[in-house]
Amino acid sequence: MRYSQYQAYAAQFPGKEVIDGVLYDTVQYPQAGALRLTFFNALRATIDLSNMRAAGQLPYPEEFCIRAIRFYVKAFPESTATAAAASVQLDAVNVISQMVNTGVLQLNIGQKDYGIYPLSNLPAGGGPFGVIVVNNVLIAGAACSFANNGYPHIRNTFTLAKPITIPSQMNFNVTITWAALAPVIRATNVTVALEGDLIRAIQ
Amino acid sequence: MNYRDYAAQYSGHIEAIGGVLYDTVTYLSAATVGLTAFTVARANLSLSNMELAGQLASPKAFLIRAVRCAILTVPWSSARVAAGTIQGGTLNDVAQLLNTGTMQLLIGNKFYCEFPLWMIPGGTGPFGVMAGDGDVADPGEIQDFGTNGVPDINNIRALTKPIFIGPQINFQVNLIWPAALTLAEGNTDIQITFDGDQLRPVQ
Repeated sequence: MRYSQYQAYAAQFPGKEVIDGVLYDTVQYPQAGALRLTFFNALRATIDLSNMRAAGQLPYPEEFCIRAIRFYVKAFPESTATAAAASVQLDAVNVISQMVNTGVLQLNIGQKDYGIYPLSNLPAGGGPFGVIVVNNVLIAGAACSFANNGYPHIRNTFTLAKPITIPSQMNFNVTITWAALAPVIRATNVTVALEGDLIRAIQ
Repeated sequence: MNYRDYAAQYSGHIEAIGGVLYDTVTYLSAATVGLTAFTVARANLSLSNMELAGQLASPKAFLIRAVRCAILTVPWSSARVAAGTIQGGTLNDVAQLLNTGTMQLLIGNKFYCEFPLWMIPGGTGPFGVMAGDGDVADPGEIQDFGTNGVPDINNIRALTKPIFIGPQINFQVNLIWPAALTLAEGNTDIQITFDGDQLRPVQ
């Protein structure tokens, strides 16, 4: 059989299609803090953690045009004791502060970096939104808190002025570094989401 | 006899109106790891406006321009937990569902819109304030409320590239969690909505 005859049985049609998409990856920020976290460099166990189907690259013929970058903290409401006056309140809000005040994100494609951003510039643009009220007679005791990385509104995302396309099968990753350990009240999963156009085969 | 003279629709003519397709599924606390929406005709319009299960009746079609995922919660009162512990309640229910939930839109045999739930805000829900009188004996109580993102109509995932669902093609939405979640409020409804253009015959 000639090669051209195999094309009649191809699992894809010529050309590619473009749809809205996201590439996301999740790693755990330790309670004691971290100096460096790397994203998109490994396959994760479940789809809630990542939708990468190859470690550190997009399988052929997929490509991805990044139009926005988000940093999401998978936080939960926290019950805490109120801190003494003139001291840091260790609560859910502090988790976000610790991470974004000194964290720096770097997008690496091939051998070059494409953008170095303070985490404070990369709001999640999503997450729970609500209110909590505490009723407790202990004046020095009860506090409840919750926080997102920024206002949880989809317009509150960092959009690239110039989109960046990750070619098929080219290595890429995202690193977040901190100059010093920034401890938080509990180990917390954090997600980097690259939002944009997924380019894939027509099938 | 020319039966076309008595047709209930004008042959070949289609009109387009602004419309929504929505369906509601129930997350069963401590049990659900996956839900499928749009595959069953529901009992009443408060749950869904699908006329058929898993498809649109010919010649109807729908162009999806935006996708929403609303967590339908109510204000909840819970016992305050010890300091240093995750505080249960409605806001924590929403956080749990969003932090590990993923949505997939399946049309035909391909996936579209594979997004973490925190990236598909509801764009809807109550917006208000709560207050407590603070006289509940230790350990106290909390009252809370939560939504999937800010309840603002502009806070919805508008697709930059709309997706067309043709007549009689199978489609569904899958909601996936890696493990069952225990929710303070118990079983909780989740509503998936497509905003867009509804195409239907001229009559």
